[in-house]
This record gives sequence, structure tokens and C-alpha cells, in this order.
Amino acid sequence: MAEGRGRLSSIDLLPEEARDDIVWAMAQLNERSRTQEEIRCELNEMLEAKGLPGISKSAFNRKAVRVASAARRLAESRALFEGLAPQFTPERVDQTNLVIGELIKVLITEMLDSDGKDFSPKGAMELSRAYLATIQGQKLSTERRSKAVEAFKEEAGKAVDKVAAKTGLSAETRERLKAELLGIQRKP
Amino acid sequence: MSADQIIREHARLIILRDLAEQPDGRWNSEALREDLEERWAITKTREWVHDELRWLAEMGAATVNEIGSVLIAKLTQKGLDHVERRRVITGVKRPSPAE
Repeated sequence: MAEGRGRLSSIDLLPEEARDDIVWAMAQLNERSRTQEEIRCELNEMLEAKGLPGISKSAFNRKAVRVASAARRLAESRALFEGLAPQFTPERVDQTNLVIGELIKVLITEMLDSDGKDFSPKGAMELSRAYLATIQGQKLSTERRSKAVEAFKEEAGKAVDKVAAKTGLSAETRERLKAELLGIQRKP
Repeated sequence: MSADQIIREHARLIILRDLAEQPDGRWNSEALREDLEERWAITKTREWVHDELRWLAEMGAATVNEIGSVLIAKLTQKGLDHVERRRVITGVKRPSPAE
């Protein structure tokens, strides 16, 4: 899980008793109404009161930058989802659409995270497989079950196409994605 | 209140707010876990997030749908009422007043 995340920051390394102070500081950062330095000074006072070391300006700045970029990505992925999936209103959703909606969100997030480089859709794959497994586990006739599986693959495949078109993925990546996510074979 | 309890109550509010901000009022547990870690420095396991989601479901603030190893949570009217300060759910941090 720590893969690619690199060394833990001094904030991550603070002991459990400092957690509530950190959560407070993060909330302040997310609110964006006070300066970073004000928040850091107040946080360090709280840490000092507990006999803990303070956070350096540079470490706090790195954290703040990460928080801000996560917030930006989140906003971006929400906007993309809204544009891609207007049919996913809370009222009109069955189990299949529910999963496809989340699949689209996870795919969008994973694409945004990859910065256009080759990405591996781990989260999307997990969702897709889990859902296919639930269909397989249901007490349905063989015929109905395979119909449900096909319906999901078709709908999810369409969703992948939409996301790919919006984010400018190559046709090849798109086909690879479908093959990996849904086991849909490339047409010869 | 213990630090653990403070963080749980805070995380519950973050989760409800995250759900409220989603266009369809839903979000999956892995995305929620990542958000808690990245934006709020609440680094917990997915199981921990699942426990909180089930707690919220028990309180009627959300509903959960289990898809394999992931939970898909959906905000209820009661959960939204808490986020928008129309009612208070004990055990969930109160949102700060709107600016």
C-alpha cells in the first residue's frame, strides 16, 4: 500500500495522542480561511503542550500542497462524473447501475492519478470483479445469470468508452482496460 | 472524550459531507478511505471505514450496499440534515457554521 508514497512525513510519524490535533490542522487547511503559517503555529503550540516535537515549515508546506492537490483532483473527478453520468440520479438506480456509477468514479480518479502515464486500474478492477462474483453467487438459473453478467459487461464497457473519450485515452489502452476489467476480448 | 472518539466523530462528518458532495450522493468505501488519508490525514484501514459506515447506517444517516470487499454508501435525508445543520446526530461532529 505504501508503494510510491515514499517516506512518511513528520506529520505521519507523530504518535497517536497527536491525532486529534492533526485532524484539527487538516480541517483548518481544508477550510482555506487562515494562512498556513497561522495554522502551523497553533498546531505546534498544541503539540508542545503534549510534550511533542513541532512540525517544520517545510514539512507542513509539503502536507498542505498534498491536501490542496487532493482537493483539486476530487473536484475535477466530481465534475467529470457529473458530465459523464447524468443518468445516475439517486432515484433511478438499480444494483447494476450502482456498481457502474462507482466504477466510473474509480476509473476517473485512477486516470487523474496516473497523470496520463500508463495506469493500472486496481480499484476499478476490484469493483468489477467483486460485482461479477456477486452475480455468480446469486441463486439464478444459468441462463439468467449469464444474461446478468452480459448486461453488466455491456453497460460497464460503455462506461469505459465514455470515460476514455472524455479523458483522451488511446483506443489501445481502452481495449486493454476492457479486457482487464471485464474480460471482454478484443475483436479480431 | 478520547482522541479515538474525537477522530471517529470527525471522520463520520467528513464521510457524510463527502457523500453530500457527490453528484449522486454515493461513494465507495475505498475512495472514502483515500480521501480521509489524503485530505484529512486520517490514515485508517478499509475495515475501519467499513465500521464507521455501518455505524452511520445504524443511525440512519446513510445506507450501505456491500459489493464484494467494498461498501457503497449513500446519504439519507437524515444524514443530509446533519450536514446542513438542520438536526444533530449524536456521535457525529457538528459541521462548523456556514460562512
